Amino acid sequence: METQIENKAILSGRYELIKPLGEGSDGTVYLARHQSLGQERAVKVFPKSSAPSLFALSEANVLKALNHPGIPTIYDLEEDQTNYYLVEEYIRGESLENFLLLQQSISQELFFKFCEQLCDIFVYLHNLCPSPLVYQDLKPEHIIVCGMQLKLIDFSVCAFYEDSGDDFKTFGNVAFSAPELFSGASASAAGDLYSIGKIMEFMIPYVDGALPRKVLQIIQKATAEQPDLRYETAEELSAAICGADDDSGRTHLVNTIAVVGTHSGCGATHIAVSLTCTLNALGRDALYYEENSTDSLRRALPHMRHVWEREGCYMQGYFKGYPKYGEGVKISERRADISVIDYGCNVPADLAAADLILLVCGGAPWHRSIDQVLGLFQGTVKDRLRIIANLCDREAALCFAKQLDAPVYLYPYDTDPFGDGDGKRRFAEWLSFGKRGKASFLRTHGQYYRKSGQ
Amino acid sequence: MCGIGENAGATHMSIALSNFLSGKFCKNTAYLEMNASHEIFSLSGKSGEESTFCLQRVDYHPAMTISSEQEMLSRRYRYFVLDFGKLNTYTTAEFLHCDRKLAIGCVSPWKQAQFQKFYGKLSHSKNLEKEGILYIGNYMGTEGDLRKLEKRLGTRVMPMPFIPDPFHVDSANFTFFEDVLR
Repeated sequence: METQIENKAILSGRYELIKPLGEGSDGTVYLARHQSLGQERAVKVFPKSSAPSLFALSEANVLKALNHPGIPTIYDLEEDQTNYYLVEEYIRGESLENFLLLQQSISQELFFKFCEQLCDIFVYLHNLCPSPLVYQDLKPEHIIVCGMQLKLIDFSVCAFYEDSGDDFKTFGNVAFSAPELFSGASASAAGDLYSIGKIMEFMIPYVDGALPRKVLQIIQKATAEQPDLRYETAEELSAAICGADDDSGRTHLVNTIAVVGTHSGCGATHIAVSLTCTLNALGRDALYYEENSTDSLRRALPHMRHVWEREGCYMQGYFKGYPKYGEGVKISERRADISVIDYGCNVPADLAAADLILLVCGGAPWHRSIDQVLGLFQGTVKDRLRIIANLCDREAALCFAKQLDAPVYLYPYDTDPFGDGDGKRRFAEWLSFGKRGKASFLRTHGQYYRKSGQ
Repeated sequence: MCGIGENAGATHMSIALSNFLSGKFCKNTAYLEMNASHEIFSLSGKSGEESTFCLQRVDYHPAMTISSEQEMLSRRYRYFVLDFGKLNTYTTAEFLHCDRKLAIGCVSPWKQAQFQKFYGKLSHSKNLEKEGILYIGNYMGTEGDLRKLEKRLGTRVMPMPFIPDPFHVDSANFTFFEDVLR
């Protein structure tokens, strides 16, 4: 089945094996590319002669039946005389442990989002028909953070739970698994819920600020020694977490940001993409939507590295967003804290839905007169308006400030919209997306000018 | 695209696929009605003689014949979606010439005999292009029915998700269409 072509192995005539990603006791994982679709895949290679090959088959049989955004998609299971080849979705991201270490702190929003996503996965697994699935081996290294989406990996030890599962083999890890697993009890959904509680406990030291007391109560109940004292179902645990989230008192001031440019080439798309990345880097869940006819995102894709796509949403590093699709498709309802909508230089007729409007101005001197767009931003819209002076100097920013009665921010020179940086974080803070999400319009971070001022 | 039996959903799936190709990739896409049903023209909102019309950047070519199809395939479209409906003696060869051959049918237990008959008929065909047909089970029938059918045929049958509106394909279904096109 495997043939050699120009020193690159081709699997099943479809997958080009590019490079090894990692090696474990049970086999090697390769990065591969689907030759026709050009999409990346992860190929796990298990020698048939080894015992772990049974786990490979087990994992494949489990995964192929599953369909959830938090669980890797399995595409193929191939075999030849010597090996099994499990072709899966290539998950780009890092383990939860590494993510938290790198971030050093995460917002409460992100903490709750992760908890809710984790519960959502287990609600799905525990409600599978005809047999629920017990995961058994939840730990931080089996949770991958991809953008702001958690993915559960390594299903090699899970199994479908039958009511009469006396011969159900148990697995687990000491730190995160329920204690009854190690005293011979059968695996159960309660054991998974215990592990979710331990994961929540694991994340707490990294959460910015004081969490509601209710969270600690939830963890205590989820990790009760006796299984029958814990939450009965993943739905119940999820509801408790959502309740604590609602009670946390955090205000979501801004959900939708409209980015509009005064003219083509002023940098509206650059700033919209950049803001999306920065907000995600700050632990806010932001999604970019291209609502203009430039097709910029799709044109950029061939030049972007390590991009992956799921259900039409493209992701790279901290960026995630949708290009402008044709009328024949519609984007699924997607839960994101903040939508950043890039209108380009087409000012939409109705900006009522936008909580914040960023008007990007700048460039050459002949672009400094913006009277023609001012009339579009009157009344209540003006209260939500922020002017971004881009690709210009302080003098130009002052010029915009004199024409307007709205805060103007001189955007720092930036070559990489997908990168992060202090200047961009200051900009996000100026927009009132500081760590605690409080309004801070009177701050003078960055360069901020008022008509009556400087 | 062809249908295994009557009302299998070939036209519904063809329209959805056309809109997916046009909407996601923003490339010129043509839908060719090869099934002699003369149903598509009603979407145009026009009356009179059937003629090509465009909806959401998909060009619909109603009432195509095999000879007009040949001429059409030389035009500058990136994708052609041919809706053969239920195959007959003349359209089978054209179906087998397509780059991607999709056969959709119902997996309900009382419909599986049609599937088997279709599969058996093509299995005995001497045309080597019979290989590579992707069988799709429409949304009627359970997963259990589909697995039973797979076992009976000895080949994969892909389940189709419920797509209520073929003119606005939900991005949640992108994976299905990408799998279909693999």
